[in-house]
Amino acid sequence: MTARRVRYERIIWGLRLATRITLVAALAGTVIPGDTGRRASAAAVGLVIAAPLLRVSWLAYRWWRWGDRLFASVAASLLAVVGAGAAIALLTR
Amino acid sequence: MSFLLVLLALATASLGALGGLGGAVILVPLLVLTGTPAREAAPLGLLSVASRSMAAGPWQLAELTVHHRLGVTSETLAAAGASLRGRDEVHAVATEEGDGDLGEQRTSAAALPVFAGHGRINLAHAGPIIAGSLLGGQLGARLQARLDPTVLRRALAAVLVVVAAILFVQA
Repeated sequence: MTARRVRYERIIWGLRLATRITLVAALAGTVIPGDTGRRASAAAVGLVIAAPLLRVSWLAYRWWRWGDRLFASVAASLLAVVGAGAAIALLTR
Repeated sequence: MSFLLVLLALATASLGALGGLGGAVILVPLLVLTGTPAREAAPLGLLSVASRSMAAGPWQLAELTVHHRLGVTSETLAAAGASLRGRDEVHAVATEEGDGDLGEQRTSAAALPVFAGHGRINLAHAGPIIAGSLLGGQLGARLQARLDPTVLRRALAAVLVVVAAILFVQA
């Protein structure tokens, strides 16, 4: 196993776990009727939206800790753009 | 309806993973053809793309095919465009001047919070779409290594032509 692959082991584990939890929530949302099913679907939607953002947050933190300020800033900018888009959507709802 | 949505999402996400397309390119027209309003189909298509991407992520990382710095840099500009486009589209659909969005994989994470913020994600349909797309994404990624790329490209082109023809006739 290469050093790069070892570096990614934690994020691979995290993504696999998130995928499994999302699948369970989505299947629950599919088969369970009523409010419980809607809540399960909402949880699945939340996980699908949150997973890539958490991944970018993790990258920003890691790059900042390693002293790569440039790409840490780029990752933080990406999160800021997405956050601003969501905030504008909520305010103009 | 839920079972049909699971099947549609599974099939289109598999095809998307096989051919390297965003699954929404096929899923959104099919959803519209099966009676889903374009206003609902667009965010469901993005959910499918994001789910497929989520399922494929661990595989791609394990195979070391991800360049994070390049991805984050290009995504920053794409996200700005997607957020604005998602917001603009909400207003376009509200005035019945717009139609479905065939979003790209890279912009789904940015546009989805905008659609969620506007309450445009149909939760009754989101569960089946996500479930089908997660399963289809994994299935497609596994099949990709076993199939002939030329046959795959031709099959995908045929599917796209059929979808385009149906949409042309329906319009």
